[in-house]
Amino acid sequence: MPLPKLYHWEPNANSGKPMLTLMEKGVAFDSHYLDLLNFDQHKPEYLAVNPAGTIPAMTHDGKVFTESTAIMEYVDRAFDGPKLTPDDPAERWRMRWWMKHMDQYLAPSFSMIGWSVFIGPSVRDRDPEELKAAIARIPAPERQLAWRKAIYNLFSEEEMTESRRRVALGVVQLEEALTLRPWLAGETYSLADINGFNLAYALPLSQPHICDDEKTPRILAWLRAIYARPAAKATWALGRTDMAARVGYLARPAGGPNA
Amino acid sequence: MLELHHGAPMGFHLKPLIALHEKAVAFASRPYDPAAFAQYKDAWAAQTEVRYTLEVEGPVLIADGEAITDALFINIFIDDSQLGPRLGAADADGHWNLLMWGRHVAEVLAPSIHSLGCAAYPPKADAAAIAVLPTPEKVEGWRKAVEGGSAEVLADSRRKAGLSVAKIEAALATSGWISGEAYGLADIEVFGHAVALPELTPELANAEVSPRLLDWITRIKARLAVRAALATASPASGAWIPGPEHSRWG
Repeated sequence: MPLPKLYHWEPNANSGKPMLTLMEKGVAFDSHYLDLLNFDQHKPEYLAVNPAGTIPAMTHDGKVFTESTAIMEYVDRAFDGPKLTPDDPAERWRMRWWMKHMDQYLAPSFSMIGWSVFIGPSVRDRDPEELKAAIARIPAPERQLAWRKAIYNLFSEEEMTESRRRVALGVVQLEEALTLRPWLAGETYSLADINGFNLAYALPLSQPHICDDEKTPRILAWLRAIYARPAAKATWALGRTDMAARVGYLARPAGGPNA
Repeated sequence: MLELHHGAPMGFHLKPLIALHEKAVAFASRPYDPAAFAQYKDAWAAQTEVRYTLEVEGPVLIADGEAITDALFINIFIDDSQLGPRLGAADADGHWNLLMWGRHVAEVLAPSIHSLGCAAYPPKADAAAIAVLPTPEKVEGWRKAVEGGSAEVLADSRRKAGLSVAKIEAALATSGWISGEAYGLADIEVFGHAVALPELTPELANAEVSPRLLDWITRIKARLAVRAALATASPASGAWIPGPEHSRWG
């Protein structure tokens, strides 16, 4: 059977989740890099694979799988390798609860800030007609709106304030969860930690006023423990930009990201 | 013994009731009226997974002292941990499809059904009690539920309901069930909200334009377990309660 083929961008947010899961399982995969900032995901050759134009997507056994968290669960069930889902049903429930909370409550706020300060400015200065055409090619109206807001900086102050509130709440929630248990689901490293690492690895860099060794020692220790894993290093080595390279701060000992 | 704390057998609250009856699991039913807000006095009410469930006012299953939330994940837990006929997919592909349906319900179908439901059957809840609920999302959710929702939200909800009807109708064309060859957790996950479509959006969900959806609802309603779940006694009225917020962006 051909190798699974993963269409992904940088090991960051959604793309990094299936990348790190495949690495942890030791599953060889065909890596197909799409440049999000070049709108590769809306080009006809990729839309033929995933008509929704979202990243990541994975092909395996003649089928196409989308949505990063659902892909992670597929990978854990479909392939041999270390199990990344806990044995205990209550821990499996907690793993799924946290993944949903991160995907559907925290991540939209994290990414609204990220798109506002990074994605939008990265593409904003390009030829206006080219940008207009790029937006018009986006299949889903919701994604068109997201890109329009990022490119033309249309986020309202009210939206940004609410996103900042949710990010700060998420930091408190993660710190509390990691105080109650060593890993997000319970006693073992699981898909929830892989998901959470992708969401939070840059928090101490982007939000140092609420997340550092003093204020959130559990989060910092958790991030360092995950980045110490060979699979995480191998995953982030597939990054091509400075954004992914930022993760290197986690290889340094406690004392703050810039220590 | 498992304890299920639930409101009226509608929406999220209906789903674990169906799963428990399908598997013939002995459980203690603990019905309550969500609009009376007594659930905020439960010992587990401040637990993160209870307070911040995206369902806003969902059921809670107590298992070995643990408060388990979110209807789809409650049902996977029940299926994984209890005896009885298997309702989840046996293969990785089917499980992926179940999760994809869960995401669709959480982000498209459920927000639209709760908005349309609250507009048609608004809950009666005390404004002063709403004002002191523990999260801004709960305060906002209940305020909108009581007020009935703006014309803009209702129009968007009808648009989303149309997307769901088309998706369900297409899925049922293959085997007559939502995912795979047999009735299972994906059907229960979708049915809990889709059963309200013919009443809330009759122009979208009727025997002429969505015959498979109507036939599927009839077949599921005829199941003994579903009849038992729908007949569950509860002090809650038949009013709708707040559900998941509509996507904030993209």
